[in-house]
Parts: sequence; C-alpha cells; structure tokens
Amino acid sequence: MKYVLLLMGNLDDARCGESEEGPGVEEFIAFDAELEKAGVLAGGFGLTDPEEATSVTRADADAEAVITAGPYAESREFVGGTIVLEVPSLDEALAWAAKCPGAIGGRVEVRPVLEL
Amino acid sequence: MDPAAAHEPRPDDVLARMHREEHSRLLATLVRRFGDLDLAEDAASEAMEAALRTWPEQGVPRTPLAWLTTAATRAALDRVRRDATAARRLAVLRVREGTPTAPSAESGALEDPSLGDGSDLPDERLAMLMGCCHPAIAPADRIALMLRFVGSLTTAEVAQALLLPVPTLQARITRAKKRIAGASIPLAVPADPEERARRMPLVLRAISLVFTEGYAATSGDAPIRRDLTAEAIRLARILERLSPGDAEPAGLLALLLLTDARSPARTDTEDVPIPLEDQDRTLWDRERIAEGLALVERAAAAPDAGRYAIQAAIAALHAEAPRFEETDWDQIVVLYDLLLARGEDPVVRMNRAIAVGRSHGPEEGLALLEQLAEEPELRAHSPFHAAMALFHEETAQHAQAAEHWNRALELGGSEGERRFLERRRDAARARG
Repeated sequence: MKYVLLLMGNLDDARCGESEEGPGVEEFIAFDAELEKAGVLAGGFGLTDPEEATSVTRADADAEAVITAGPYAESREFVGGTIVLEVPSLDEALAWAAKCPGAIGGRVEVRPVLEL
Repeated sequence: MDPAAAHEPRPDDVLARMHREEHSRLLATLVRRFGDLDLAEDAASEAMEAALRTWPEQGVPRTPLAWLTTAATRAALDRVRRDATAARRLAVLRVREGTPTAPSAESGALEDPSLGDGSDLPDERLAMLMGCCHPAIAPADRIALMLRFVGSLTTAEVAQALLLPVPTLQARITRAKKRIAGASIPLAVPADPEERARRMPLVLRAISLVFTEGYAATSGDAPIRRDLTAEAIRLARILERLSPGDAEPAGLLALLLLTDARSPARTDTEDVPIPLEDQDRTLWDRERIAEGLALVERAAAAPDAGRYAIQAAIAALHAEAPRFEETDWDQIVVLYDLLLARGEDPVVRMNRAIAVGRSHGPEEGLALLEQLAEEPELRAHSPFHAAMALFHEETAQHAQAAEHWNRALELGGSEGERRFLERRRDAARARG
C-alpha cells in the first residue's frame, strides 16, 4: 500500500529566531537513503520556504482567480515536503514516520494514497 | 467444543450458547482471514443463518465452530465474486497475506476452505483486542469496537451502556471501520515484541474503562450497567487466557473480580451507596474473591507486574480483611507508593492519603488531602470531597464537613448517591 508522509511545519516555529536547531538537509538526505536501501521509497519531493509560496483561489467556476503573496494566510501550518512509501500496512508507514527527521519538533501526517 | 453428549443438543440451544461466546471467536477468525470487518460480519451472519436452516434437519455438527467458519468463508467468497469492490479489497489482502505481518496467513486458505475438524482453530480474539486498540484508532472508538466485535453485546446494547444514541454509536463504528479499511490499520497482535508491549497497556486500559463505565453507574438503567461489568470481566478473561504468563492481564482480571465481588454489598435496597466501612462483608462473592486472590498471588510476584497487578494487590488486601478495622492499611500505603513510583496521579495520591488517614489517624490523612485541594482533577472529583468531609467529621470539624458533603452533592451523581450525600450533609450541619 502507498502512503504519503506529509512533513508539516509551523510558521510560528520557523520564525522563532534564525538559529537552525531543527534537523537540516543532510538529515533528510540520509533518511531518503535509508528508505531507498529498505526498498520502500516510492516518491516524494522537498519544498522551498513557505515565504516563496503564492496562493491562488477562485470563489466559483465563473470567478476570476485571486492571487496573493505567501501561503494560505489563515493556517499557521505549512507543508515542507512529502515522502511516498510503498509498505505492507500502516504500521510500517508509522514506524518510518517516527524515524523521519521531520517528526522532530514538527508533525508528520501519514495518509493513504488514493488508488484510482 | 461440546463432546457428544448423552442426548442430541438442540440447534437453537447450541446457537444461543454459541452466539454469546463462539460468535466472537468466529468473527475474530474471519477478520484475520479477510482483514475486513464488514465482510467478516456479513459472512458470520450468513453462516449463522445457514446453520439455523440446516442443523435442525442434519443435526448439530461435531465441531460447530469449524462448520461455521467454513460456511462463512464460502459466503465471503461468493460475495467477493459478485462484488468488484470486495474483490479489490481482497486482492490487496492477498498481497499482504504473503508478508510477515500476517502471521496466520495460509496461502490459498481463501480458495480451499476445508478446515479439518477445526478443534485446533486458533483463538484470534487477542488479535482483535490488540487491533481494536491500535494507536491510530481514537480512544473513544476503541471501546466501541471492542464491545461490538469481541464483546457479546448488540449495537443497541452497547449504545445504551455507553449512554449514546444508537445512531451516534453506529456512525462512530462505521467511521472507525472506514478508517481501518482505508488506512489499512492491521487488526493483529503486533509482531514486534516492543510494539506488543506498548499495545498491551492500551488494551488493559480500554477493558478497565468498560468496567468503570458499568461500575460507576452515575445514571442510567442498572441492569444494562451490570452487563458492562460482566462484559469487562469476560474480555479480561479472554485476554488473560490468551496471554499466559503475562502479569498485567492477570492483574487486571484479578482487580475486576475482586472489585466486582463487593457489588452485592455496595448499595442498599434504595440504591443508596454503602461505604466500604459499613458494608456487610458476608454478602461479598467468595468465589470471585477466591479466583481474584489466586490471580493476584501469581501476578503481584511476577517480574513484569505493573499498575494493574499493584491495584489488584490493594483490592486483595481489602478482600482478605474480615472487618474494615482489620484492613492492613500500612501495606496498602506501601502499595500506593509503588503505584505512584510508576507515575504521578492525583487520584492515586488521594487514595494514599485516605489509607494514611486510616493507618495513622484522621489528622494526618486530612493534612495530606489538604495538600491536594488545588489539584484541578480533584476539585471536580466527588470522592475527594467525600473523603475531605469524612476526615473533617472524624476530627470534629462538622461545619467544614457539611461544606464538603455539599460540594460533592453539587458535583452530581445517581439518585441513590445524591440521597446518601444529602443525608451526610444534613447530619453534619446538625452537629456543626
């Protein structure tokens, strides 16, 4: 079964000071390698700073698109990246999520991928 | 299963008896086989219907459970052949069956439903209990699922017992089933021993919550609540039997048996609660106590004894005392200290304070209780105020006692409980 690990960050944490106390890029690269070696990695991507985001919304099918700078203003959470796993059951996905550097001081949301 | 008896068992009797105990075994076996709760339930009821049709003519089979499992498997296969969605789900299952995470997989079992005489069918209810308490399942849903799939209560009975409207409970169970299927939450004993060790406390807690729901009986119909305590004991028995050598399941069962043993003496004819010090101990259920004490002896001495074994040991000390005055309070205090060493808990601290009061005098007990007065959990906890009231009375501070009885009364409770608190408050006011 395919699961996606959504690596969630929080804007309030990211803006607290400049020092990078959380996991760095090297940790994520190492984690990716571990997943590859275990034969469970099935996709995923990292994302840049939420500050570089642009939001697009349309009220309905006839409305014009409204474009605003930055991520969706209401939520403090943002997606930092994704990892797609192919594993036999939720337990394996949860075990990997627990090992993921993104879980440290952050939140990893594990969801089944919709199989069409 | 029933060996051949002197007379032929009647199908209705067998099915009635089976429906309670064996239905949960059947369901658990089917869930393990198909990995799908809905399919398992439908297949189980089809099998029961087939039994009701054919057993009166052909007689009751020698091993009814094996017969039913075979019939249910056939019914499920038929359903799968007719229904593309079910087929897709089973196709996913067949992939999983080949992996180490499905220990009871028998390749081809779905296509070859012959099971021999079935007497060695494993009891898969431990898998169900552990599965229902998977951390990915919300705690409120765990109890509903356990009672529905391992318990012998109908959905309506579960709803009544948990004081929920039936549609609410049904919606909750439906949503939980959807999550289990959608996220592929494994309903199994965790293969990893560390994960298994982490899961066991969740199962123990869920079963003990079922018991507390029934035992506290803050409102609602008394008979339904007694069903819950019986269900909890039944589930604890299953867990204990299927976890031989584990101390905590034995501890839980002991605790429930010893606590339940006191229920004939707990309330008077008007449902007014009788405090432990005034209970007629000749009414206590001696059989339950004997069973509980035997379990405690094993569990409390074991190296993996934990919270439930300790609580059972405390209950055992109460059960062994011929009179309240002869209770070994010093030993009880020691046990509460052991319990607290495993984790701070205001209610446990409160109970320890009461035990100290019984052992060293009400002034000391009161002093310890007063240290806990600011604990938010205890401020809204009726027994805390009752304990404060009692110790104030015993130190001749009747006005304060009356205040605490009143505070307990304000926190609500069953009609009988309120009557008890009113009487104590009025008596204290009269002396204060």
